[in-house]
Amino acid sequence: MVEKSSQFLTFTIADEHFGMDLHQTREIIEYAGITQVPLMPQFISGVINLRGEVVPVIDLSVRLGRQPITIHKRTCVIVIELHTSEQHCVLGLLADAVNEVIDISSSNIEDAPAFGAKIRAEFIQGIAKKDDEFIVLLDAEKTLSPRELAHLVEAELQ
Amino acid sequence: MSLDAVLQTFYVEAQEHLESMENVLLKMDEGECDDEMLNEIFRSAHTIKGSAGIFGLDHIVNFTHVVENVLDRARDNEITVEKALIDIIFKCRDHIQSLVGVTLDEFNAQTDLQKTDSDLLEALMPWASESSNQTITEKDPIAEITTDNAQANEEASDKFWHISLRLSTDCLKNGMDPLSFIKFLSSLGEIKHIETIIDNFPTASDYDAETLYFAYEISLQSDANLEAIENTFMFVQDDSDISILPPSAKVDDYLALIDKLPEENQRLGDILVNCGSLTKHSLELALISQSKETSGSGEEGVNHKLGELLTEQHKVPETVVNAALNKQQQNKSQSQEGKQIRIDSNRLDHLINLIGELVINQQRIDLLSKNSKNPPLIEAVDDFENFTNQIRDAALSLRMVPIGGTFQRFKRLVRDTAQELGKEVELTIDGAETELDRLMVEKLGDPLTHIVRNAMDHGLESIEERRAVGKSVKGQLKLSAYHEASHIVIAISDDGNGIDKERVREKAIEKGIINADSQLTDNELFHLIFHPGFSTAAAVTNLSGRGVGMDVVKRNVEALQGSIDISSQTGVGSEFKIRLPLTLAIIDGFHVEAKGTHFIIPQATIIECIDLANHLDIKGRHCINLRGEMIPYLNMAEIFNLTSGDEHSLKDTMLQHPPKRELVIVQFGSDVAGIAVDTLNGEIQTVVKPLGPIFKALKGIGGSSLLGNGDIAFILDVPQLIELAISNEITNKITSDERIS
Repeated sequence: MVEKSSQFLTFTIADEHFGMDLHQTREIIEYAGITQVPLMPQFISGVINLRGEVVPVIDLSVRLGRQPITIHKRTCVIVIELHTSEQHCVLGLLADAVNEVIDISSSNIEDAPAFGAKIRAEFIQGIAKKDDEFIVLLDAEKTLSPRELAHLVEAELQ
Repeated sequence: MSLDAVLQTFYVEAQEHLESMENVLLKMDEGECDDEMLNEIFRSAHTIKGSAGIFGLDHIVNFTHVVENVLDRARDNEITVEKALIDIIFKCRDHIQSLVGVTLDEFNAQTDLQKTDSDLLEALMPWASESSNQTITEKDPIAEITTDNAQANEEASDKFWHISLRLSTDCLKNGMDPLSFIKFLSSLGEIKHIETIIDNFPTASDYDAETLYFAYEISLQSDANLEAIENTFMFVQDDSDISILPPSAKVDDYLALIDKLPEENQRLGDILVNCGSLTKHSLELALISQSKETSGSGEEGVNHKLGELLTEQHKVPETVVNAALNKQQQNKSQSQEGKQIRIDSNRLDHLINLIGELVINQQRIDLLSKNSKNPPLIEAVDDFENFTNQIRDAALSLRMVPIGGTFQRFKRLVRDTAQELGKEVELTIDGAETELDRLMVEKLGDPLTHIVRNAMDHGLESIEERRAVGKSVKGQLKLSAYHEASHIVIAISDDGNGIDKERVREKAIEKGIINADSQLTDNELFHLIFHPGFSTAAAVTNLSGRGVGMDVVKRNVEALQGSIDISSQTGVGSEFKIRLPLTLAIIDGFHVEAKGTHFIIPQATIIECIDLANHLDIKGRHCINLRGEMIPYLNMAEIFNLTSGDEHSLKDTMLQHPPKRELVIVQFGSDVAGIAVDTLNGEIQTVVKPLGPIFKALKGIGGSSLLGNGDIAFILDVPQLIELAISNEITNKITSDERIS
């Protein structure tokens, strides 16, 4: 049997390792300031100018129910592209560090634990193990669904 | 060009012809009617039929053919154009439109379409019935022309058209199938005989599957006129050799044809005999007489004879040829009037986007040149700026289209709606030439439809009611468009009963939209009709009254950065005014800063800027006294809850430019308000970048924009901002009231 393996981009936020399907990521840029958008909930850090395109930036840490990320000089922005049925959407994610691109075969991906991960289970695509460390593979489409983000913004404004 | 692309052209053209048919029909409906108008509809129907035939869209051909016949009779004054006929032609036009939208297979599968088809054909019968017997002898132009030649005329009914087709060898490559022409010919009449000439067929080794090697000689029995037959070959006539001889053609004409064609004369003669176009006897006689002359007078004689033959050939259908030429010239002059080219709208949008980037880059260069303090550079950049602006304006004007096209559509809507409601309505259109952004025109269709329908359904009274109050029976509805400052106003007004304020009030209370003791101004009361789920119509009619509509209208208009005003007077009428910005892509704005965040206020809304320090606040309120008028203002930092995000850099800027309190006075509709900001940075041209779906709920900010230095600024949506300030005030008041109690 041929094992299916996929490529993931791994990154770190506050000592936790995360992975995201490489196909959904577009580029990684240095954090060079951000324009805050008035009245936004905490998980929206603001917007950046990506070569003439205004791109919203999400604080993934807040979105996953953790403390807001602390900005330091190695902070970077992972630009991802989502193609949902409604529209295509470009978003930036704040991360402390981007590590590497790894191949993970499907047999090495385990289902998310029912509890204990402290992350909403539907956000997790699976958990992979590498060098004795766990990598939480995020389901970008669920975690960053524009529709859900928009609902959260709306709720915040009311 | 692939066949699909050609088909696409067919759809677009058919659509245009249908539109022109509708316009003419509307004029006729108003009582105007002349030959030119009849000709125009006829031409439209005819061209649709002709093109449809080429693509083998038989369902369109069959139906349109009958319509065309009726129109032809009207054109020849055989039948009078009366209201009933116009009505039915209207329906036929609509039906053709739906036919054009479906393929033959889809048509065969849809029974309701077929039913409309047969119903309409039935309805057309009273006008169409006699045509088939009469056209040949009386009304066929060819027959008319040849009446002087009585003999020929008598023969017309049993002789046939002769068509000799030498299609271009590339015709298959161009997506044209000779079979489809022949198929179409058979829809014009009966094909009596086809001879396929295969002389050019090469040996197997030279054979190319995409080259056409065949030529055809066709004999056709048909009542159609020369133009109709010629039109069959419209798509290929440029590079093909096509000769059409009318049924009345003389033997000499055939001889000329034989001489003209590349194939050997005797063989051609045989072919023509086979086709039944010539009798063997007459052919022999003719060939003999010709050869006699040839031998008699030598080369010159041949040329002379052929020349004569050719002129004769032309002489017979001279009027026909002239008619055809005229038609062509008319078409040409029509197309020259508007000298237009069709461009894919995506390409246009792409160009506008690029120019948007150019404008941003230009500003960046501008900034750098000013910092460089190099006079020649600054001058060059100034020139550059000038041209950039011109390019921008020119590009934007490409997107502008007159609103007339949209208004025109309402003529039909108004006519049909009036009929349905049993009311009499006259629609006047004003300012049809006013131009606005194509994107807006597209999005305006729905809101306008709702307003017009509402005006006709709820606004205008029935004939009896109008008579009772002494108004003219015919209700007046007016659509107008005009510029006002940097906005475009589209007004829909009627002379109906006006909005019944009491009914609106009752209804709003009943629906729980307002409290029974709410004090509302007229304007506020009128705006209640935009509330979702609001409808005052006593009965739900087919047209309006479902309570969806007006809220959609408001939302659509707001999505276009516009606003709606209503004015209404009981018994006199109502007016809806839609105010829209000129364009959506690039705006002139005023760059301001509040707590380090950049904002752009659309220039169009700004009246003036003043220094807040020079005007004292009216005791403890956010109001100032400006030349005796009390003007409320809102504080940007407060309303957007702005805190200086980055303490360190802010301190630096504070040291350089200590924040002053500046006030920008803005106006939108009839509201005047101030916006307090820290610094004014001056005028700026910006490209609007939408903020994306995530920020949809954010009120007061309409989009974002990039500044010359790459920073992001937010474009204020002034009406929304004012609304936001009002709602904040209300919630604040409520919370403070609660605290007191």
